[in-house]
Amino acid sequence: MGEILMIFPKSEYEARYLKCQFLMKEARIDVLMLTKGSNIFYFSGYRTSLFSSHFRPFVLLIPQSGEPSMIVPNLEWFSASKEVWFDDVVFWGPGGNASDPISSVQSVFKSRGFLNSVVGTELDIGQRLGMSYQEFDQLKQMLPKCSFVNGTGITWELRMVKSPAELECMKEATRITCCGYEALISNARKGMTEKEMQMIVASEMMSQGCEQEYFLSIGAGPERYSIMNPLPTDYAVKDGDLVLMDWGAVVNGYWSDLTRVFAIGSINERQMELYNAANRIRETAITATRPGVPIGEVDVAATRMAEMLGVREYMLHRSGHTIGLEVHEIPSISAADRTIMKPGMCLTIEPALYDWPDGGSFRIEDLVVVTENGNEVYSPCTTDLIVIDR
Amino acid sequence: MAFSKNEYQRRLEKCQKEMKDAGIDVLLLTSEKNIYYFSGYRTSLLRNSNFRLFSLLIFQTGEPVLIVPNLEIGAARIMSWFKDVRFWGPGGFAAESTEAVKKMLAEKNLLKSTVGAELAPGLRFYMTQKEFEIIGQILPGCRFVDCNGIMWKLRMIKSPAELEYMREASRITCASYEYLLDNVKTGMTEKEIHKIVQIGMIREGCEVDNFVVVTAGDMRYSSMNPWPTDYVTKKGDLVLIDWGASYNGYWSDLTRIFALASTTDHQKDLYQAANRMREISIEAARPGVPVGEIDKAATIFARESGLIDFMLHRSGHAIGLQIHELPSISATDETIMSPGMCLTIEPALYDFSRTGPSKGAFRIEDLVAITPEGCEVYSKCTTALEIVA
Repeated sequence: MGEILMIFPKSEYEARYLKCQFLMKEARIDVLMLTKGSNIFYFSGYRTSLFSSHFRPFVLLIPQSGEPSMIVPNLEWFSASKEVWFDDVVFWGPGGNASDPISSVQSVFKSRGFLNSVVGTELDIGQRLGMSYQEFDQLKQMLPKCSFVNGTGITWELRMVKSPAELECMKEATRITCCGYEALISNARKGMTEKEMQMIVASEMMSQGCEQEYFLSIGAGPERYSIMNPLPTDYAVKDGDLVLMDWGAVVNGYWSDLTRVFAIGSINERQMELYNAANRIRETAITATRPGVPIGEVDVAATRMAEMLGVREYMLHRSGHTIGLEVHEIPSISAADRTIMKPGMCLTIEPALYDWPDGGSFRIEDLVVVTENGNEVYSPCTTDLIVIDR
Repeated sequence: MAFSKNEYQRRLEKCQKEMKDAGIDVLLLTSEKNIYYFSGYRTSLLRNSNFRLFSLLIFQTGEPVLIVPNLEIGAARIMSWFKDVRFWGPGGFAAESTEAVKKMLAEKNLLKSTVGAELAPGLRFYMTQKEFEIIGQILPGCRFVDCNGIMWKLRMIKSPAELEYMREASRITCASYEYLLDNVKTGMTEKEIHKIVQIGMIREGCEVDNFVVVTAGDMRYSSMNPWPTDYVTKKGDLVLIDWGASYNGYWSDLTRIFALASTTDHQKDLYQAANRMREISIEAARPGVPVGEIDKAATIFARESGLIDFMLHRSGHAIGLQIHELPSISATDETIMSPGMCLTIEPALYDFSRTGPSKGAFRIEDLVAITPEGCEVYSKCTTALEIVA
């Protein structure tokens, strides 16, 4: 059963682990205490839908040298011990090393000799701690000789660059996402509601192998253009409506995130201009994506093109973000972010134009991976403007 | 909006009364579901990104305020019933999200006040620890206390309108079970079974949010909440589905088990016992008694049947905007059941091994709502042990 359960080979997890320990030495962090689902999954191979229940914390401890230890609720021990590449999985509850999670974690700190440690954990930079404030406070009091610092500099640095195996998952997630779009434009018609559109896309993505937890926002018609992440409603599309869909599938925990805009029946000249401009800006941004250059240059290139085309005033946000085990990661595709692009980074490129309140939102978002020679666009679905005639 | 303005107004008034009783001057709410509960506004951004803070402030008197990142202002104004919706960021009333909170408190003369926030287990705030630390530093005159008690008190009792959404979420879930039984075959993988359940829910109107756990075969019975795998099912396998749809943000959570081709007598016995336990637990669900009585009833049955060693957990939990809510259906929870409470009743029996294959997980979970007379079962799908070809 083990081979089926681990998504990556043990060697891949070991490689991540060694890099992590190296960075910990540099940062003078003795123990990394990870509580966020995506980080636990990245380093251990284990995940559970309980990550999103706020009642039970999950903790993975990574020391500067030696093996990791993971602490889970008692009934999760069975899955966790089968799904991880290491041996030490401890549980709290009946039969466990303590009756409550925080005492259990403290107990492991004690038995592993971590009581006098600098502990890095998820305090900052777009990572919410996987335990309540009170639980964290209780833990700090039970570990008075430990100091707690932010550890997400390390987790982000590792997760930023995807391995070939990770990239395969991103590619597959993106392929599935595009299948959803194809199914939609083959079936959409006047009078169809946003919810019906969601059903078509979601069903197709599930058929193609999307995991649970996909995301999808869809907004059609002038009253919806100025809603950024609109949840599907019973609004029925009519002639002249633009439909914007921003959605993504997930495979082995890896996300894709695309946006497409299509028209029902007809599109006016102004909208067509802005659509074409957004498309050109997107292409420019993709061309600027290559290793060795600050990621902010992608945003700079997009902004320059927008200025050239005379549409700068319609740009309301940065050119996108990076993506992986979470939909929003760092670095950010904004001019101020000077992180140097490296092969394996996954960008969602979405420089967009907005003619608010009711002219339209023109966002065509692609998933692009930095490669040794430049970039590769993972999202094969058309960026031509589709006009639905039926 | 999912609810009438009157309903939102009532929630606000109840909340303000609780705040007065607790001596809390202002609530700082940042979690996705509390923001939705009080304002009607929601966005996938709150889940997909941990980078932008959304805050909802409720004062003891007067209008509450919703503060969102700049690009969400259009959505927030349309979707929420609040009069006062502001944004932080370029052009906003504050440049940063934490500064926005301070400015708001300053405006309301609450720089020296008791602030309720989501600090206790079960309902976590959607701030980073750093953001909360900053807020504490820029508001040195404020005292921060936990407000989850108030949140649970309000959200524990669902209104008729909320119950309609809970019913619909359960209906969607049950319909997908029928769809699954019609389409599943021995030899399918867990992932293929997952696909069928998903499509079954989607075609019935399930919202984007859902969860589906599928475990099959003796090496998987002891996995409680895993993702489905490529395991190929075979004759004699039990298949457990623990899943739920959401509808207007309200969840269902059901568990069903079916068998492929055949079962052993031991499995049939345990299944029947678990089913009987479920029935007894549902009978114990009625207003005016502590919710712990449900768990006690299940435990007594298990003990009298000689099966107490197979009971590994409490008998369930409350549910609503979150899958797991309070109260807990455990013997020690003394919360008195009241009409409008929604509970997932799942006393279960497990025949696990720590080292080798297990014999089965027997959990049949139903969703009930407490009514003035007792309870109403919302999960109207078969609890018979279906044997599929």
